[in-house]
Amino acid sequence: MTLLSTARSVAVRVRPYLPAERVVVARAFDCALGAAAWFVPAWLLTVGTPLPVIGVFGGLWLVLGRPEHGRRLLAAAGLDATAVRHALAVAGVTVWTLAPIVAPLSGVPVWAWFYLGVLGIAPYGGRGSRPDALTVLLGSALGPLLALVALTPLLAAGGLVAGLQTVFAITAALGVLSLSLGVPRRPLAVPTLSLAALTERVERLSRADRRLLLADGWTRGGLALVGPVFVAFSIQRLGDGMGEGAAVVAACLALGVVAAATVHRLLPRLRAASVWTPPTLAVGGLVVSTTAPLAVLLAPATPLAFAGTFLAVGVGQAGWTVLADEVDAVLGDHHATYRAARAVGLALAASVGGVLFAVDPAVAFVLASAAGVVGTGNYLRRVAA
Amino acid sequence: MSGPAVEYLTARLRGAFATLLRALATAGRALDPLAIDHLTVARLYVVFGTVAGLWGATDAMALRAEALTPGPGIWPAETYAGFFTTHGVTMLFFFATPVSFGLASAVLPRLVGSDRMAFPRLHALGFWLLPPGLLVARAPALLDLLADVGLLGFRVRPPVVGWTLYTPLSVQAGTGVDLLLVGLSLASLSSILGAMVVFVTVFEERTVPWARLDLFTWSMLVASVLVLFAFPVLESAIVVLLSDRMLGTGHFAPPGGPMAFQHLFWFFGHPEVYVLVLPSMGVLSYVMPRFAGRRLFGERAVVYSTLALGVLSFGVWGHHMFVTGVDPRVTASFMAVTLAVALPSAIKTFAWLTTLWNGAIRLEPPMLFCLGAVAWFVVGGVTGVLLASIPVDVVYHGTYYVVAHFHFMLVGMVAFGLFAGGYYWFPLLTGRKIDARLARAHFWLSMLGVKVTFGALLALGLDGLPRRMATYPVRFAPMQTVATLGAFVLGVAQLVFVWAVVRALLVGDPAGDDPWDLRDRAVEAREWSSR
Ligand code: HEM
Repeated sequence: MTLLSTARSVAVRVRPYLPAERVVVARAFDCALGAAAWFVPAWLLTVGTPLPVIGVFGGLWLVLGRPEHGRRLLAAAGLDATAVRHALAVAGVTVWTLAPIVAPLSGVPVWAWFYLGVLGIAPYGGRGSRPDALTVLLGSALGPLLALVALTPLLAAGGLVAGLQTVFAITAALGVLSLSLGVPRRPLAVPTLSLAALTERVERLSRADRRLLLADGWTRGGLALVGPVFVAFSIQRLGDGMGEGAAVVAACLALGVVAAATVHRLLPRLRAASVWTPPTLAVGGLVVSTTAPLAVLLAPATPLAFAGTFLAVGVGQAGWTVLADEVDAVLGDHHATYRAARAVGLALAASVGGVLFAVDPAVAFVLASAAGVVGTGNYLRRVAA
Repeated sequence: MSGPAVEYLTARLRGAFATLLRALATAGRALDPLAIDHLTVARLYVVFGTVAGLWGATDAMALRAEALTPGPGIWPAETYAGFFTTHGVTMLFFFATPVSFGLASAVLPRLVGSDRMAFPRLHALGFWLLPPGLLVARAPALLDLLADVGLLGFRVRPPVVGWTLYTPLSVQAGTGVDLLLVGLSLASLSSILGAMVVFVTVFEERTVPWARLDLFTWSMLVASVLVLFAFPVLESAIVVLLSDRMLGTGHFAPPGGPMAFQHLFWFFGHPEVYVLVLPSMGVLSYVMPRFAGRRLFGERAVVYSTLALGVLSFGVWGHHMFVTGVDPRVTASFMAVTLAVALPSAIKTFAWLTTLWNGAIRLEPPMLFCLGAVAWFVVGGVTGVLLASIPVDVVYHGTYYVVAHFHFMLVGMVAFGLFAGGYYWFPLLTGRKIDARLARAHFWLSMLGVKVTFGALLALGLDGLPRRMATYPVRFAPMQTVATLGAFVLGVAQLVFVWAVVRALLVGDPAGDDPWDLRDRAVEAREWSSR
């Protein structure tokens, strides 16, 4: 009976997103974009972009990557239609495809073109997961997984630079295709933000709840330090040239996606198991994010070791979800403001991370783990209290 | 869980399953390998041609992916050369010709007032030579792949000779070339059989008087005559080439051999391009009046221009050899004949355009593809006339200008024409209607793709970029990237076509006996009347 009831709810939820081809193509574009975006910092690194610039790029992606922020801008310009967002995203990927070529001609450095591209892509907000018929049917992980699997041989054959540029071009073509078929409507509520209300709310929070916010801030901040260069550095460690490493990392990412999807499937059951499982999960997630930067730094440079690391990061995602839910519960209506404010903070962290990475990768990755330790400590004290 | 919901779901699931089963059963009947009736063989031809076309398109995508980076990118240079060889061969011999013969097999009997094609068994045999031909011709790349993943202990080097098979390279290159030649000879035998069947059908099965014969049949007739004169030359050249390779003869050995080969090849090769383009021209002349609500303007002139193209096409092969050192007096005459080809082509274009004039135009998918084809035909024609002039050709020979020119013709005109015919006769082939919304998306994306891709290649050629090169100087990179973006759009557009077909087969509306509403408009449509 549960099977049938699932099927029924699926049928009901899927219906608004038909016809099928529209959904499949839109989702293919989305997932290809998401998969390609993982590798942009690595790409920038390979073509010799200064590291601080990559850090700022990562920060920009973090701030703008949340669709509501980009859309706020579009709405202000009176342009917030699904098709416009989609067309801008296609234009953004096209700029990425053309970047390495127009850069030498125009004298404007290649990274500037990538920044420009992000501006187009940001309001779209697709990063490989969104509610549509296929997500509902097949779980949100299948699309990103397929995209990463498809990307792997291209990276293996062409190396990071040529391979990824091909992926950009294919993504752009998929975007044009999807535009021509009509873009599924995607209504998104843009929440109103109020910093004053948030501050007031935080001031009224109990000590324990504030510890929760601290834990969240420290660990996320730590990860943001190395987030933009996480994939790039992994690739660098795995291969002398960037070529070999890129395909291995794509495969590792695919593994991570599978892991994350699997634990998320199990999450409701795990949560219900006992009162202790949610905090245990959260701690697990935090520990993973604390140790992952160290692992990338210190693990032997073999595909197996990196596969293990990415797998663990994938599993750890469940902990982050639990944590995020707790934060939302604590902040009530104000969580949107909190997230926006946090995004700005994380963008700063990412920028700082780029500078640290330029000083020495070890500095950035060790500091990231250190911040993770502080965050995890705060969380443990909250739980203990 | 409420009762109605369960019922709804189980009904939907059962419905979907039944649809799938029905579709499979229908496909089994529709594509029966043992059948020799003309419609089944026609379907086999069209399905096979479409699959081959998609395969050839993936080669094109692989070529364009390589061209994204000026240096070595995704593939090594040899693989690139293998791709343009298989791409050219697959598209010409296994996509365009089979699809046109397939469409002809479906409708010719009705158009000439018969209920069958002549020699049904030979007709089916003509088809059945194609699948082994394609597999053998493309085997080197497949075997190479097997060797790559360690399933094969030896390597077959991909044929890197281009579709033109020029000697001495094609004599010296590795085993892959042998397979390619065997595959090609099967394909050309298939074309000869197909042409024979078409020719005899028009002459022997026809009950419609010559004066009332439609333009598609005329075009197929002329195309089949061209095949009958040209392909045996190719077949012989292949046999001689194989003997040079395998028996150690030296027919095509330097000094004179390579030129002899080029003469033989282009004596076949140029009529071959008319074999490719005439069916599409026929489709245009046939379909456009039906969606313009008028008779074809200057019908008689169009028939004569078709015949003229057939004759002239045998007198122009030397224009492919302007830069080989052939005596200027000879090349000058080839130049004159080549320029003369512009005349019948212009007559057709004029007739198509004037048919539209004051017509009640309906922009249904077949008509859209016809209009697109006329547009690209003009672009391809104008770029071609320029090449016909020896001084221009000396400069642009071997550049992307040529590649752009013949793709405007082959994709813009030939493929668009076949799509027009495919959409128009889709109801006849399948009994279903196709989704016009998807067809329109297919059309507009293809227009965009052709424009961007081959426009960019034209610009590259004008700038002097040589064709058939995996790497190139950096200054060409911007246009190359634009061309690749266009090509990928063109590539994904074809997926829309595939989906439109699959969808129509699964859930399309039944076609009825007047799928394009022609009867109300008093347009003659002989092929629907006998259903
Ligand atoms: C799907 C769209 C297509 C694209 C993007 C495309 C692209 C290309 C490119 C880039 C080349 C040149 C490679 C080089 O010289 O380095 C080429 C060659 C060629 N193409 Fe296409 N093509 C397409 C469709 C077709 C079709 C439909 C036909 C024929 C019906 C065709 C026939 C040929 C031939 C004969 C060659 C010459 C091969 C040789 O040099 O030996 N192409 N194509």
